[in-house]
Amino acid sequence: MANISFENVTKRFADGTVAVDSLTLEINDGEFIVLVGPSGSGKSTALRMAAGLEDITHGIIRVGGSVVNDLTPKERDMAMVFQNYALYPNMSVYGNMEFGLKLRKMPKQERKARVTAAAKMLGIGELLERRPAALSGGQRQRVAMGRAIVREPQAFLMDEPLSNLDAKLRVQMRTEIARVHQQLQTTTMFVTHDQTEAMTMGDRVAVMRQGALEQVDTPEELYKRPVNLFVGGFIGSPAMNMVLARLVAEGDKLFAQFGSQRIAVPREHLSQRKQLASYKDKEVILGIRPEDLEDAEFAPRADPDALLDVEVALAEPMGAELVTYFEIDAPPVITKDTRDLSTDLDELDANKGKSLFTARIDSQSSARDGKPLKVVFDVTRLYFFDPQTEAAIR
Amino acid sequence: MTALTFLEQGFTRRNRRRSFATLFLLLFLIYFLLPLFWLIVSSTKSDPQLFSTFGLWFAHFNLVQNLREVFTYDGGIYLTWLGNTALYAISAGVGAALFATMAGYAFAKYRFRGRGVLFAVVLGSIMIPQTALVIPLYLLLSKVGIINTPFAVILPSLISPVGVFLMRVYAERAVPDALLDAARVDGAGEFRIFRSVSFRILVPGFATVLLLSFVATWNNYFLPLVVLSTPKYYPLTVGLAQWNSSSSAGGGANVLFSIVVAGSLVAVIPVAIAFLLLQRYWQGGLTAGGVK
Ligand SMILES: Nc1ncnc2c1ncn2[C@@H]1O[C@H](COP(=O)(O)OP(=O)(O)O)[C@@H](O)[C@H]1O
Ligand SMILES: [Mg+2]
Repeated sequence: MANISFENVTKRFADGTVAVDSLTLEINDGEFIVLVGPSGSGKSTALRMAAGLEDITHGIIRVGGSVVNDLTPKERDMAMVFQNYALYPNMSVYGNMEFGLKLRKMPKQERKARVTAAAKMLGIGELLERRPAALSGGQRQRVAMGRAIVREPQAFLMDEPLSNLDAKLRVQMRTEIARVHQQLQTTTMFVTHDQTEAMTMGDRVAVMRQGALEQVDTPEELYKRPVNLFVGGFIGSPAMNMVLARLVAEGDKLFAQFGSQRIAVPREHLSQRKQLASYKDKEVILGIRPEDLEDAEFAPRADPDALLDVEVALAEPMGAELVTYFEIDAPPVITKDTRDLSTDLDELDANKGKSLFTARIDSQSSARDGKPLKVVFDVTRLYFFDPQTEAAIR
Repeated sequence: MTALTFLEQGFTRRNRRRSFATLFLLLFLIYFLLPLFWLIVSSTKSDPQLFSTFGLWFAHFNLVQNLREVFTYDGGIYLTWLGNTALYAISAGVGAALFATMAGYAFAKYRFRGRGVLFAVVLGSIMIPQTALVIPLYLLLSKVGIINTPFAVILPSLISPVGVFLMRVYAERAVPDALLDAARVDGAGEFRIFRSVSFRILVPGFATVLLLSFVATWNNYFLPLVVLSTPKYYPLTVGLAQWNSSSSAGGGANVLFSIVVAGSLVAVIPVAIAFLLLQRYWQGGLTAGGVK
């Protein structure tokens, strides 16, 4: 086991694509770190450089303190789990798990002991004689994990290992991988494009975009204090609502004005963010998470300055909550960031001048499609970003 | 089913198209099988009957006698030729399949300088008939001093440009890159990966190239004719042709036609067996399950 450090690591492919751009990241011994980002953001490339499957164009990767740039994958002694499992089709489950040990000339008895132990840990003891073709997706996933575990490597590198599984199995394997990590305490780099997976699994989460590391923090920090619009929008599901607003002072009160409406901005935001005061009478990007919006009926003591009158466009009962969509008559935030993120780009363009908000409100709410609704903002949980730099206002 | 509906169905366009196809294939089958049938029929005849009876039907059954003569004539040299042919065909088949598999795999899975140019050369050499290369080949082989040895036949037959092409296409589709990466991370070197992982997946392609080269070498006439001069190195093709021409030239003094025909029949049998044996390797889906 070892720590892994990336120091200004860059990968430029032969065709000129810069897949990883000066990545600096320190992964502690025994840590479970998740690399998350949209597809094409360079996560796999970063992982493959650590494994030794891809040359490093610039920079240094250290494992356990020593530079591994020029070491072969074998010499780096890492184990990797692939999205499509990549099991050897001509070998049995046992053969698959044993292969790496055989190559390291481990005695047969010890190989057997390790394979048996790992198989037991993963609950695949019954499958050892089978070929991969005779296994279900979940079983293949376990074998791929087993093949990594038996090696007792310096680190586990996992590239979207769960994305070929169906939703239920994916959740189950998440806990399984977490359990294995708990037990073995092996340094793990786990790549995913799924922010939920990232948030539930990582000790720390590294958010990547276009080859660059945007932020690395605990899931809680990422959620509460995203460094920029991209991280704010990427982390959290449904995504954070954003609107272009103007900060206006009225007496000793501060308001965020957007379209025909406004909400109060409590003083505490000013004390927490020194720069915020300088945005008075200027535009900011105001963010509020869907879970921080509520039907006013269920928040009776809400500040009247935190209320908004809206018309429900769509109300989706999810059981535990009602996911409600409504429009705000203020320009939506269209930036490079939101474009990178947005799956509803057409919608953004079509609704120029109107922003679509999502709210997760009480399931008992009487909100219905086309009906008016009073929405209350949890104004203590507002987010502020600079419209030009897209950085969080601190 | 009434006769009327049967008729109606019989004349639907789909059925008619299908019966045309069947008829067409049937004609082809006859076209290909007729010579073989002639060979079987003729090998049962004695020399005089070969010319006096209807060619496509049996006369007096003289097969056993013919076979006995095939294997005993000229001190039983036929057996030597059979052995030579087997040696040439098997070593060329296995060798060509192995080289083609390795080369095709390398073209498919590695990025190296000159890959495009080299592959273009391979493709180009598919277009050049071996016959055109025999004379330069003769000169080369005699320079090296292996003319009139088995190597003169085997060495040139180890090269199969078509095989390289086939194996490249096959390896590109059958061997996923992730599998190679998995083996690399597991600690395998490139040759070990080829031996333990990739080759197993490439076996159906390997068997195909093996069979193609085997048959091509088994049936090759021109190359051994040019590079060999001692009868004990001859393969069946050259040996039988020599018997044939000596009987034609002998003006009836040395009539060997019936044993040439029977010898040809025997020569066909191993090829048929090879086909049947290797057939079971033509099963797809060997990689199924390894990579989703
Ligand atoms: N072998 C390659 N040659 C050229 N470009 C590549 C290669 N592999 C990946 N890329 C590019 O590098 C970028 C990052 O890819 P990747 O690391 O696979 O992203 P992710 O895993 O985050 O989806 C993408 O733009 C991709 O097209
Ligand atoms: Mg990827």
